[in-house]
Amino acid sequence: MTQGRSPGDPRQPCGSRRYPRVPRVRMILLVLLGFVLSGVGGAVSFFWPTITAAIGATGHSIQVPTPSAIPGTPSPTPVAATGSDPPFTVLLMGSDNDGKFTAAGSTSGFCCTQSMILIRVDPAAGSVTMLSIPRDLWVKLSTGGEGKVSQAFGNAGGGTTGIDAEIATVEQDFQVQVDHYVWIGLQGLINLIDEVGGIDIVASHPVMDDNYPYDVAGSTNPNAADRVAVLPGAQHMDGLEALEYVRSRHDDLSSDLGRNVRQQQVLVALRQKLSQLSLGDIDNVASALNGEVLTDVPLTQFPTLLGLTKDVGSGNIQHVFITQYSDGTEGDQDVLVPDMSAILAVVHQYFPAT
Amino acid sequence: MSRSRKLVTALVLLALMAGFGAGVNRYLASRDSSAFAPPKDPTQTFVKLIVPGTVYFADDGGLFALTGTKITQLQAEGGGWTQPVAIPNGAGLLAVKVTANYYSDLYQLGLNGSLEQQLSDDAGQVTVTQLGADDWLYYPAIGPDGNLYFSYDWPKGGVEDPGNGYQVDLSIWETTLGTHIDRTTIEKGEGMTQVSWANYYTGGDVSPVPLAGGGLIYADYELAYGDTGQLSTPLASAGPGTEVSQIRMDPKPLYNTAGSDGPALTQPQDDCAQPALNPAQTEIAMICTPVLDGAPSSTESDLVVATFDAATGTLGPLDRLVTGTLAASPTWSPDGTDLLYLAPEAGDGYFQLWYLQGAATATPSRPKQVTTDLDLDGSAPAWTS
Repeated sequence: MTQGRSPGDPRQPCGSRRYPRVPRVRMILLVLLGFVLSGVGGAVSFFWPTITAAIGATGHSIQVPTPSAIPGTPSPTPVAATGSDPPFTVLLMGSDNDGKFTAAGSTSGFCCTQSMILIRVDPAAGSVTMLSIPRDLWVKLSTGGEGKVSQAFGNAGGGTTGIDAEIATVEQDFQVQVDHYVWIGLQGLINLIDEVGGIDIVASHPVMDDNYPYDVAGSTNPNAADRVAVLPGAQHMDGLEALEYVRSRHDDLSSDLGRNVRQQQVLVALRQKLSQLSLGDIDNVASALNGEVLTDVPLTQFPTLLGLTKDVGSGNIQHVFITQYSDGTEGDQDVLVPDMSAILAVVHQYFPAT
Repeated sequence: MSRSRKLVTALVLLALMAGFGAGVNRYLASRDSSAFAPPKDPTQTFVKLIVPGTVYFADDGGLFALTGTKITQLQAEGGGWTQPVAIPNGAGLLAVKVTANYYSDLYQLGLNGSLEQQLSDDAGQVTVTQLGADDWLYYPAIGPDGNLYFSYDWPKGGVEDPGNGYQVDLSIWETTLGTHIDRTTIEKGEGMTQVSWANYYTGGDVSPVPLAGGGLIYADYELAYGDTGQLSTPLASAGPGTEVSQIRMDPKPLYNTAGSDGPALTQPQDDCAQPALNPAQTEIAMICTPVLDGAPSSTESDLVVATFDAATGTLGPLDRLVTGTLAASPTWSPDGTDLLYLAPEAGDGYFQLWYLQGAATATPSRPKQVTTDLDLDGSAPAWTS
């Protein structure tokens, strides 16, 4: 059976307009294409917040400035995007990003990276290693001179420039290669944890603090203090509670070290929650993080990372802490004076030396 | 096909395409994880299992009572209510009301939730503006002698010693139920006895469980690293700031020995806390954190039961009855045979009530979920007959 009418079709009105025939197969393909385009349009509209957030948060590749060289150390090399199989290293940074530092004279509004965790992900082995870098470690800064390891970020003006400076500092002092970074502000952490419905965590001890900074959650005075009491034991924390748990340090025998431990605990709990994310959640999470997270992890690698979080059992997470230092002072600052050779020995057990 | 039929066909196809696009959009939206769905009003939730008696619990700052399959609101959510405790002989409830980021107070309530009496006044005095003037009161417990035990953030360094201003640790105090509690009465010891001295900068001592023969069990906190900087083998990879808990028993004669800890019933590597004693005082249920890769897990906690001899202060082997989840805050049934505890619903982080029948027997039943869609705050429920 043929489609359409033949020229000799007696029912064809004389003189009527002739339409070009469209072969059936082509017509079917056109219809299918229409459906595909419509479906893509629907998907794009759903993921539009994700796409716009991603454009704002990603796309910045690491630009390592010329480091202030440490004698005997190799220069950092530009990093290449990683595939899904080879191990890679991510520098996770957390910062205050409110007005208190502007008020205190910082032109950038940024102070430092209060939290820094170097993370080594080995997809093939299904393992993750987390190494907390003490923020008060006194080292050579990529921005020049010496300072606390966390200060390069603020010295360079925060933002992606500050991130580059912080990465360069970590790379030169610890002689490791940072492949990717994730920077998150205080509100970003709150938003992320709230968006995934909170985290389930064992609070290791009562976290009590009469001098906790009251600079989020509607605070109008970034220098105000607050009282915090996070009770111990298993609990379901929302974003604000989790931030209080990882940020408080005053009533902790180990001060920053203690909260380094708590920060890694929250990361593990967050990883567990993120592993429950489905495709439909990514849009909401991206919206929640809009403007509060900076990263160079390409969008294409997020599914791999999410997949990896499902594959890594909690028994395959290694927690490493730097303890090879002594207390000291520099000017009016309390600092940690590193034993770099001992520190490097520990770091290079888990992170390849450059 | 006529021109008009072609037109209609094209329009139908276009409509179908548009519908398909919208369908894809809605399908993706429907794929967000239900695991993150918010909890519901407890009175509107489904109770999966009937447990005997009445269970009082705190949910999202409110107080509720569960009897059979019915959940009744005693105090509305968002009120800061937590840690309900049943006063013996049906004389009512105690509960803590938290004013977030400032202080917490202890109240006595009727079994229907009516406010009977404010037992503490922990808001700072108006003449003192510093935050350290406020106080935290938590973990109320009533002893067999009818006395009240609680954790209080006093003494603390900030007020008495400005150079020590960061120290805010909970110590355990004892008083007669009904005695008014505030900073002044605590500081002056007016009707108050300090029964534990916190390890400085650890957060302090919590979860007092008074014993019939005097003394109490409680949980304290300390660094996993000892003074020597050495860790026991099971905790070999714990970070230098890792704190662990131990359950201790403080017999009465030590009460007035300032700074002394009671002997430990559990070991640091067991990281046990939240003790609950059965009425016969022969079994302790508790929560212990399993060790993973040489450090206490931050995402799992086990429900553990051990025999207990109050006379000698010894604990039997730890029997891990529930593992692989985030168990919290066990409570014995009034007859001491079964346990209620908190754990997340499968695939959902919000705590629900779970029931473990025959917990003290050699063959306890499998845990059964009692409630759904709640947002329990982690504090132990109170269970009455």
